[in-house]
Parts: sequence; C-alpha cells; structure tokens
Amino acid sequence: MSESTELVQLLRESFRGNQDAFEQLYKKSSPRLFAIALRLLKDRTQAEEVLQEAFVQIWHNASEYHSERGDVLAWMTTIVRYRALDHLRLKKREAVINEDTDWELYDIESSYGRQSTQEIALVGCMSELNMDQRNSISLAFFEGLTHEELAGRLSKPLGTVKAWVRRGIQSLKKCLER
Amino acid sequence: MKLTNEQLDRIAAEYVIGSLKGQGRRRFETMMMESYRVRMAVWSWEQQFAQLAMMIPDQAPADAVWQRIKAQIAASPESVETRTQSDDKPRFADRFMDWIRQPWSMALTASVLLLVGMLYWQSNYPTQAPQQYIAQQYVATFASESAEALWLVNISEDGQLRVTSQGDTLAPESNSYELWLLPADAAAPRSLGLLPATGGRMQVQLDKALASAVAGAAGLAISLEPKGGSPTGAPTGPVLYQAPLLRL
Repeated sequence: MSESTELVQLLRESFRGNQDAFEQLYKKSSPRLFAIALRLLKDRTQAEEVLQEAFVQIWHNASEYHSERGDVLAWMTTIVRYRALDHLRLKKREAVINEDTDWELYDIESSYGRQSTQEIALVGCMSELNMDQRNSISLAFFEGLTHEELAGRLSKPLGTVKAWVRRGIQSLKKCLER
Repeated sequence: MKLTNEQLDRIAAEYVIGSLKGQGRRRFETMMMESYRVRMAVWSWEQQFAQLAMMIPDQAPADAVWQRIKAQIAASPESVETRTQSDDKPRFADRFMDWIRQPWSMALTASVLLLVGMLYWQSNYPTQAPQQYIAQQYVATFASESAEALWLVNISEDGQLRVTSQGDTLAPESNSYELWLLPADAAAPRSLGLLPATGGRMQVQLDKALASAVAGAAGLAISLEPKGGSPTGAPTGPVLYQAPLLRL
C-alpha cells in the first residue's frame, strides 16, 4: 500500500472516531508538518502550538477531505500552513520584527533528490523562474513575508516586488500547464 | 466582483503562498465560501505548493504535543454519533470509497435512531460467558435508498454478531442476501453469514480471528448471492448495500 493510500485509510478511520488510527496518522505526518510550521514561525513552542491546533482541526474535520484537495498530506500541509500564517500575523503585530538573516533562501536545486519525478512539477517550474521572481515567491512561501516585508528584505520598491510575485505566478501557471 | 480566470489564478496563488494579507485575504476567503470556481483555483495551487513545502527537511516535534492533542480530542464532547449527524457525506479519495460511500448518509442518520432500539433488544438477550474479543461494540445499519431501515447489525465485545431485519428484506426466491466484513487495507471481504428475511433475526459467534478483524474494518457490505450463499467464499453477485461500522 502506498503511503498516500495508507494516510487516506488512517484519515478515514479517524473520521469514524478511531483514536489509534489518528495517532498513526500523527506519527506518520507530524515530522513533516512540524518542519513546515517551524520554518514559518522559527519558534519551536509556537510551531508545536500550531501543530496541536492543526491536528485537533483535522480530527474534527476529517470529512472535509476529498480527492479534489490532492493527497492527504498535501491537504494537511495546507491546514498547518494557514494556521502558521495566522500565528505569524499575530506575532508580527505583537513584537518588533526581528529580521533574521540566518534563514537563507531555500536551495531548490539541491533538493531534487527527495522528490519522485511526478511530484516535482511545481518545483521544476520554480527553477525556471528568474532569480528575482523565485526569491520573492520563496520568501513569501517559506518565511510568510508580506509584499511590504519582501520589499524591505530585497531592498526594492513595493511595486517592483509585487510585479515579481505576479509575473512569477503567471510563469508558474504557464509552466504547469505545459 | 467577477474575476477573470487570470486574476483568480493570481489571487488564489497569492492566497496559498501567503503573500495575500489582511483585508484582501479575508475578502478572498469569503469568495471561497461562495464560489466553487474560486475554491477549485485554490485547491489546485495548494496541491502544487504542498510539494514545495515537502522540500523542508523533517523535524520531530516534542512527544508532549501528541499527549496534548490526545487529551484535547478525548475531552471534546463529540462522539461517533454526533459525527454522523453533522457529516452526512464523508468523502474520501480512494476508489474503494467511491463505491462504498453512496448509501452512507441515510444509513448513518438512521443509525442514530435505531441505536436505541438495538441496545434495548440486546439487553433482552441472555448474556453469554463474557469473553472479550474486541475492545468495543460496533453497530451498523443498512437502509434503503428511501432511508427505510433494512437491517441492523451489532457486534458485541464478546464477538457475538446479531442482525435484525427491520424492513422488507425478503430476497428474491432463488437468492440470499449475504453479509460481508470489509477488512482494513481493502483486503478481500469475509463472509459473516446470510441475512435474515423480513422480521427475522440471526445471531452467530464470530471466531476470534474474524472478531479481531472487526476493529479497524472499513465497513460492512451486503451482496446478492445464489440461494444458500456465495459458492466461492467471495462475493459473486452485485453489492447492494454498504454501511460503516460505528464504534460505541
């Protein structure tokens, strides 16, 4: 049984109230999901809070999953990401933004080995973008930066950064439709 | 405001990436609620960008996180029964569920009402030597397309399978209705016996292996078989009904 079939099975059991299945689902997916939350929040305690909230949400809303949402892990990923983005907004409102330069841009090329060929559509398309577009989209995605923060980080006018993101998305769309 | 496809695609992507913020984000979320087209655009980008998220190396959370989640879901008042009431159409990806899911909603709804009667009936049964095979009781209800209850199934902790006919369940003359357990992992269905006709009851003791397959099973199914049951040990006729097993 493939991993994604197994996750569907576990999610289905969880929907029926099977807590053992839900624990298995957690064990199989939490290192991946925690990494995603941690990358956005850069704070273990907060990332763990997000993970907890996300899994409670998954438990209660298992029935909202369906095939149009992609595989189960992709669906859970988006739940964690949106939660983490919400926390990030809150955190930024509460504290002075600490510009953290330790988090370099993610090196897309070096990560190819982790994906099977059918999964790399978007990743492959990202590498076809020009550097400015790719950097803007990566920073927004991995660091949760707003357009304004992107402009600050990249030392470019807001309009320029917005155009990079917009054109980057258009290019991704074209590339994915090829 | 009606967005062009190109606008929709861009805003959906920015929503997924996270760069759409504040008021714009809230407004877009409202549009998602109102429009299938908008949701589809978001789902499509979510699947693409989930791949990008997969590139981040795994990080194990502290063990305490699961303990907290467990405590939170155990403490929530939501039970199996309320789940079935609030979600009448569980939708899951794999094709196995595509054929199993259709008659669920009504069967699930009916089960809540029938549960009471089931427990009452069971309490009137003579109790067996209490040997526990499975951790919980399971129930399932089969209902017709018009939501008329047909059979009610109960599997108790000691591995007793009890079925009552609730409606018109007389099989065509040359046929029998056979009940199947659909094990986890989409393994081959296992026969649980022939179903009682209108007004009838049946009770059988499941052997230990079969009883232990009940926990975690994908559900139950009923097929139309030649009189006396499937000659092969696997369903040979059409699958007429399916029902999930609900844990009590």
